[in-house]
Amino acid sequence: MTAKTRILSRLRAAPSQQKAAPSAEDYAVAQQPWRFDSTERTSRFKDLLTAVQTEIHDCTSETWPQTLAELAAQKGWRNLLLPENSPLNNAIEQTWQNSVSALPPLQHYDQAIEAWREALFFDTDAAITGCHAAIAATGSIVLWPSPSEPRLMSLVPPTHIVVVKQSQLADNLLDLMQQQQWQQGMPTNLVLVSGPSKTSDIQRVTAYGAHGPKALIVLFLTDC
Amino acid sequence: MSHSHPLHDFRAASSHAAQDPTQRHNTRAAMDFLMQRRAAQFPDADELSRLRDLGQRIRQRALSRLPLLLEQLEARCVANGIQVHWADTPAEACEIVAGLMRQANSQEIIKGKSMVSEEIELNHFLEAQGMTALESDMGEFIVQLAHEKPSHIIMPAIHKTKVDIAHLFHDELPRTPYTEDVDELIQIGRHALRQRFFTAKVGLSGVNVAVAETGTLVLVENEGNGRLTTSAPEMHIAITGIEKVVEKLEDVPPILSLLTRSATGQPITTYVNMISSPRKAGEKDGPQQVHLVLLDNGRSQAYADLQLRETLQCIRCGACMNHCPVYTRIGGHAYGTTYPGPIGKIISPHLLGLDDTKDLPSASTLCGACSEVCPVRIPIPELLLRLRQESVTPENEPNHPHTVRGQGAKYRATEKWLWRSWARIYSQPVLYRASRFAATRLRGLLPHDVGAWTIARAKPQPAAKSLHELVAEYQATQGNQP
Repeated sequence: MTAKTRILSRLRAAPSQQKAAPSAEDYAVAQQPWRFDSTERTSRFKDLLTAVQTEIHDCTSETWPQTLAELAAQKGWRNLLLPENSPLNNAIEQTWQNSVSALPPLQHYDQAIEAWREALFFDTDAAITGCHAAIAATGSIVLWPSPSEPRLMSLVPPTHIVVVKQSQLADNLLDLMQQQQWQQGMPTNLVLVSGPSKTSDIQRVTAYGAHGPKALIVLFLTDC
Repeated sequence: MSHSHPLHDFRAASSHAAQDPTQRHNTRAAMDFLMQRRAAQFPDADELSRLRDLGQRIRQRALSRLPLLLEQLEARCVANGIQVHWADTPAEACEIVAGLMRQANSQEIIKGKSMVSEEIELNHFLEAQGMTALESDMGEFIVQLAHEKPSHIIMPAIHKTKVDIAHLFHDELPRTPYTEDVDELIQIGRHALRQRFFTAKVGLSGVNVAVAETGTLVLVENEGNGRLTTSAPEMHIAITGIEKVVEKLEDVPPILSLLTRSATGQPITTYVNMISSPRKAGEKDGPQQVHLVLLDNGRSQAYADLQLRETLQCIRCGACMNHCPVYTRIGGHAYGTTYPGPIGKIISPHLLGLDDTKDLPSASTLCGACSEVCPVRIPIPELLLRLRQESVTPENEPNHPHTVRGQGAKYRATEKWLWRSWARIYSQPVLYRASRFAATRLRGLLPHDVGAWTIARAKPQPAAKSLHELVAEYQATQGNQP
């Protein structure tokens, strides 16, 4: 008998006790207290992220590439990693071309990790991605990695910049998951990010930059 | 694996720990911190109560359909490209992991935090095979470097101060200057482990929730080591107890909310990592292979009894230990089990047998603080009482089903005889009066050493006359007046 057969036969031999599935009313406790009007939704999202040392910049769909360029110059990144082909890329590339001051070179995540693992792990300072959605209740950003925006982009470089549109803000995770019917098809890896990497494992003192990004920068587009 | 080392002496270890002022101070400070953090997350008692009801319902519903959900989980995972393995015992689980490492041509495995890997003593097993397991969670890394075991399921190095860690890093890591600055210490750890993430071919993680509906493995963490462990190597092995499964994806948000708020008082952890498949065609990173190991190790024994089954509702938040007056005084190591504190007392007898854990169910004041904070409403004191009963019921007791391995470990014929005599005395007035007379008149004969009672107390001193006699004398002189 295999381990599977042994385990399942023991479980099946146990007395059965039917328990009803929780009702929609039961689940409401994970939704109702976490619904907000539009002002509150934005302020809660920002407050929670700011409380865990996330840098948030209000921008518009016109100004964000300029803000990014200023940050790049100010933070002294040696380079900036872009998705392979994202709607963000055009605006960034144009701003970089038109810039009079020197900006860090742009790279693209355009080949499999095996081909450039060392460069990503040790020589990439910052990466920018979009996001799938954002959540006000917990101050979270939903990443839905894709062939164009692979999962290590938001994880390995010391700085992760993410563009969040105000219209992408949902109230809470359960609402978002139900509205978008996530159970119909989950991606390879879905990640909720709520700040830069941190730990309190040494005498309960919170230190940032444990293993993931030391800095999380949100470019928050208020006009879309 | 309990038989690989001598029986842990809980009485000696807990007594020793309770007399160690440094341990007492460190644990007390840490538990106060975690209790305050949790309380701040639940300002609305009604919301908390309803959320705990929901958590309990989700977990009980999942357990009521456990065999079905496990098969559904396996089918969904396989359809997604995740390979599923079943392990009855710790030895089987260790063999599966070692076999997968050989298949990946790797002598080394990098680990995210996994209490199940502690439960099966994976690191020890791999070392015996000439293989290496490297802990990457900062707390686990510290504990491994010190050749110790975690003292808390959420914060493994909570018994250590930054000074301890400063010395440890300086002594154990090459070319590391002495520093007590926590930020610097964390950067030392990051740097040491980043190189290992770069080279690692196999990563091992635990699982916080497994979703049967979608074949999704959910992991929560703050550091990013869990994401690196599950994303950077070619192969990811996830290991979990069979009880961690839930029915639907929509069960995840309430369980997450209960877990992170109860555990560390965070509205959410920095990362919630949901894995549903290995790297797909066209994707540029992520592991080529994902394996899920489902471990029983005594869980089906708890499952076989409807009351003991409630033990399996646990989501491993650690709130019960944070609020436990016993844990707070003796710390996690004294228990000698992977899972310390109240949850450890009710789960360990199933994993290790009551013969190896017989002192644990009694090491409680039954104050009920644990069940009051449990996010899924496990009635821990009732389960402790039940286990106490099992520990004194001999295996061959008629009309009593044999439910727990090591049942009757504390049974003593003399004790049983003593209680029987006590019952007889108290049900027969003649015997009762005779024994009362003897107890008061012969009180001088009581020895100084009355077993466990006199270890830390003065011996009991029976009165010269019983209450009955005093009342009778009083009434003789005063009539019935008060």
